[in-house]
Amino acid sequence: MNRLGNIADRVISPILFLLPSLLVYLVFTFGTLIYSFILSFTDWDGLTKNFNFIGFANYIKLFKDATFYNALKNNMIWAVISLIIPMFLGLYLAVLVDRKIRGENIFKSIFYLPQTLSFVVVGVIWSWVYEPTKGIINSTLSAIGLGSLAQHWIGNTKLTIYSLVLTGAWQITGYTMVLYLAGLRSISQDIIEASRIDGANNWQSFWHVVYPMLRNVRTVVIATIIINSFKVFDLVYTMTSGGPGEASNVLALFMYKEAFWKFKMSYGTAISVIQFLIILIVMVVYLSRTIKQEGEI
Amino acid sequence: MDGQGINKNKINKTIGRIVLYLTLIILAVGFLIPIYGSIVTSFKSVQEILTKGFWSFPKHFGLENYIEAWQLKNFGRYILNSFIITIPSVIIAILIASLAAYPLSRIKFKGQNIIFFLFVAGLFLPPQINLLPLYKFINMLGLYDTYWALIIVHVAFGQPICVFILRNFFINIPFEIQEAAKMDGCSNFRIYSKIIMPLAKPVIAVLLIFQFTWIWNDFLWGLILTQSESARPITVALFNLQGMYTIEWNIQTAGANITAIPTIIVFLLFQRYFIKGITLGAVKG
Repeated sequence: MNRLGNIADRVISPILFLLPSLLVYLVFTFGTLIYSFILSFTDWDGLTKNFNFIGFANYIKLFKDATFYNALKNNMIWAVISLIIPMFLGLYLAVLVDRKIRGENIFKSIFYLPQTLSFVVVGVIWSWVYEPTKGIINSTLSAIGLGSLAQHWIGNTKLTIYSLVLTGAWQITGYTMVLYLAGLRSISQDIIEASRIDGANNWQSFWHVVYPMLRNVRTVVIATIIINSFKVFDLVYTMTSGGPGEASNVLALFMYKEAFWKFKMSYGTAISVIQFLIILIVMVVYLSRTIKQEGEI
Repeated sequence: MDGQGINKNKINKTIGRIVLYLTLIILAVGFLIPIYGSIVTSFKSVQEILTKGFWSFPKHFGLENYIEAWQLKNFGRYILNSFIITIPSVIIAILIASLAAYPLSRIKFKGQNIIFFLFVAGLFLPPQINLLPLYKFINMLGLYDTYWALIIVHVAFGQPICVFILRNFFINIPFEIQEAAKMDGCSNFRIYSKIIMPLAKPVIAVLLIFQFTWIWNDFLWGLILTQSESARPITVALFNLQGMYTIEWNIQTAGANITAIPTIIVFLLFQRYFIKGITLGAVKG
């Protein structure tokens, strides 16, 4: 009896507990992930039920497609700028908020507020910010006599991707701030005090003591930013639809258009497979380097 | 001499404080300007926008634009859709994730780590890889353009983060509590429901709030898996509104504000939990 009870406890109950979650998760994410790989080798158009296997044709086409390289370049611009602005602005805000200020919660909430908005809402708000004649930026510029600097912020092929990245930065900075703040708060005050006694000034103790100790938080921030930058879709779709022309196209949008506008579903799956592999490779390289560095210390 | 030094120090400190607050206030205002713009513009007429531009203050605070946005796109229906999709998704996702987190943290069994790893891997998965096969699969199940399509997808994609956070919380609950209950002949399910879950209330609150905002704010799945008023969420309706009224910024911003209100209310009510939640589930973007 006891043994039976033991088996029930050790084998059957874990299965029963895990079943609903694991089933829905595996079928809808891993199942469709595998299905995605399979579909990328077919000529499925999304309209008919049948499809034929066509080998690597979609991938060969993809690697010859200039739109692909353009979209990939934009994702990379997104990642690089996001690794500069929200990374450091978030850290800066966290340091400011951490200095025992009055109204800490109010400031934190303000910086975090954009993060609670849907990308579509952000898209509307910032399309208005960038609006060329009456929008916030240009009307402010002309009000202070700098009207000559006014631009078509998202209508200009050279500027559009940078304007979009900036909007993304506005949204994600509150998130990086909160992460850094948690990191700062986990550092013992004694260590900082000790560095002060050794004669370090504010800046020195921050740079030589605090900043290195934020390593784990930084890893999380960098990983999040990289993943986000390679999967960005909503903002671009709602603000520019990838335009003007292809100027602000990104991988996810490229995939969406091929699949749902041109009904090249299987080509779309090939794009998303490559997008997935890019994220995977970048993450593996980055994380293994970070882990290795940690091992050395 | 000594007294002077202290005085100087004090003055320096005061100046430092003033600079600190000034910097914070300037940055905060900078962050709020786009939102401020969206609010004031939603109370202006198109005429006002065209003649007076962005920085003018609205002549009066009427709700005309809100009513127009609401009626033109039948916003009431879409908001209802969003609630009907979001609430069950949140509850089901957290419930089944808590069940899964229990054996992953409280029972030792073979393959435990592999299963946990599977869930964690999901945190890094970009949803776009699943987009087209899921679109096909949902069609095959006959669920296209129904609430269920979105509920299932949100539940499935909520699993990694919910399991991850709950498992990490459960594993830190002292095991003595469980051993004592076992001695008294409690089954695993009773331990889960009577001991572990009540202790996990704060974490569950965090997850409820986070899942609510993520699912409410979702645009991509709503766009792909629904097509009509019968199931489309508010975010997609707002996008369509934006497409219809390209120069009526007052209507667009009114629509955006309506869409944002539920999540902003949740945020303002539960700020503390938000901040806590990010640190708990730091991997989720």
